[in-house]
Amino acid sequence: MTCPDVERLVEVALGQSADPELEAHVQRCEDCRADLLTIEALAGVGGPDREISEGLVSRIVAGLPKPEPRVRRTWGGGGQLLLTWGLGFLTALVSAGVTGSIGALDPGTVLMLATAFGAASVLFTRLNRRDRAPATGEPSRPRPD
Amino acid sequence: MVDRERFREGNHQYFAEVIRDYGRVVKAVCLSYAESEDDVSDLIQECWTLAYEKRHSFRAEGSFAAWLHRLTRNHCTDAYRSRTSRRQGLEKFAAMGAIQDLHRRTPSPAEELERKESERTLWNALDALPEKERDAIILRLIQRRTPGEVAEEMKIEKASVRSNISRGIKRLRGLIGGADK
Repeated sequence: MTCPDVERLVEVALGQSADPELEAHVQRCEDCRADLLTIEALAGVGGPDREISEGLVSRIVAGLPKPEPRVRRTWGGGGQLLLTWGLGFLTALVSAGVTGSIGALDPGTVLMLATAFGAASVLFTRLNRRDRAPATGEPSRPRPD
Repeated sequence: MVDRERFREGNHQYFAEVIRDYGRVVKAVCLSYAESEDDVSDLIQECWTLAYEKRHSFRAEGSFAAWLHRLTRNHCTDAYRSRTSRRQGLEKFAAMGAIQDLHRRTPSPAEELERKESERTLWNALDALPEKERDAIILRLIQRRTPGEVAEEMKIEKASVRSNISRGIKRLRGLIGGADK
């Protein structure tokens, strides 16, 4: 018999197969014997008594910190968006009026800048808006009927 | 196989499934470093709590067993070092006759110590292996996964699993032999 594939040695070490021919070969072949001894040492480390009991699993889980709530950014409702944009637009117009830009700049440009400022306000509000959603590990609150 | 997204979400129920599925590798390492049965349970709990806290550092590219093994090994080695240095400190103090009554640790049987020592040598040797060889060995021999499951978890062919295990075993023989000398 030629030297077996390592998987056959692994199966023998894990007790998943018995092969008298292979065992006889291992007795004769020093190289395979050394391989099998190393595999058996590793298999022994992961032996059957290494399963975790259900009691210990429960103890570990009970001692875990609560999962932190996931942060979810939202845009808000349509009315809120319009209001934010309108306020941004007005702020830009008032600023332009105060600084005297309305007379100096082309009205189209002023309108475009105010529109852009409104849009920037919406974006800024969205980035700063964080609604806390419960993480999946947390128990959800019962809904009132 | 661990679903990375669900694991990172931190759902306790899913985490319990992961503990059941990958408990062997953590317990195997802890048994080599713990001093008593109570110590084993405490160490296992600490390692899993640490895994939970560091769950965001688990990347999809590596195998979960390898990540868990690394984390457990680091924690157990630190705990072992601090306990050993604490005991050495106590021994010095006790030798001076000051707190002999505090130094009541029952020594473990010699065989038990020898077993733990050899297991620690084995873990050290495993750590010195190239990543793929180590992962294949941990998954197949310690986690007791089938070659197909190992291939799936490591995202490699079944034939590569065999060659990685084979190369790893040969390398381990050299490393352990070298440690004995």
